[in-house]
Amino acid sequence: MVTTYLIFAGLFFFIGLYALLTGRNMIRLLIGLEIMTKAVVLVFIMAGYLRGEEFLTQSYIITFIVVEVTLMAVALALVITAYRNTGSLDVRGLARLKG
Amino acid sequence: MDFINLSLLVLMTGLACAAVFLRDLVRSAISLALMSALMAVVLYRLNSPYAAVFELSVVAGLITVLFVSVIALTKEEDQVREAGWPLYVFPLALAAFGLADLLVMRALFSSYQPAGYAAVGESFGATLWGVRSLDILGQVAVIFAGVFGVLALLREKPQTARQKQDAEKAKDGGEKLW
Repeated sequence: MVTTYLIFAGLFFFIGLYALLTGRNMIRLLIGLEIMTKAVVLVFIMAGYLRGEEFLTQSYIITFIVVEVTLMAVALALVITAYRNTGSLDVRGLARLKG
Repeated sequence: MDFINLSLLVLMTGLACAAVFLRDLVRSAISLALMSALMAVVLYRLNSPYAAVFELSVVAGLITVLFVSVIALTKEEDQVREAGWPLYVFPLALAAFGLADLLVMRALFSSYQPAGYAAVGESFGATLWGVRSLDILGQVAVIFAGVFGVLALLREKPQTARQKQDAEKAKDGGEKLW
């Protein structure tokens, strides 16, 4: 039972990582990152469920979600800034930035 | 593991693939939001209602709004053309990883069993505000850091005196024309 959840967590992590490694669109890269966080949440919740410490893991997850939202907000602001500078959402355009 | 949770996880996997490979970014963002909503249901079914509420309201709601706003701020015709090969390689890569994942997880965690008793501690509130009260302070600091980070990144460049003069001249010229 536990194994099945962890297998799916691994799959989510792989899908997110694949998007990060192969994608070119900056927004799509962030979507990949977001999918990877789902895997982390699932592993956390399984750890709590296994040990019977759901309250503690829930408080960890809430902290994690707050950090995740902040990260996304700043990352999307960076995407907008990069779009203003390069005129494109292509992540390869950032390699040409100077100064 | 019951059938409903298994179905939810399979659906979530499909939605994750859709979020990665759909061409339209808005549809990708909506797939991600649906995935988060299903995740909230899974969390609720695993005795974690508070985390489920946060997942549903903040991740499925707020982050989707952020994504859609940024997609709207960038023009449709500027969409990046993705390479074709990742879509064709993906099923093979997913199958290979899935197999390895299955073998490793079974070898490592098959002997683990759920505790089978109710959550330890007085209540969720006591755990959050009592045991982890310092972390709440850290969360507030993180939120402020995020707010100031976004403000710093999205601030308008201040105009120089010359730029202001040019803007006024252009405005005057426009008024004279009328």
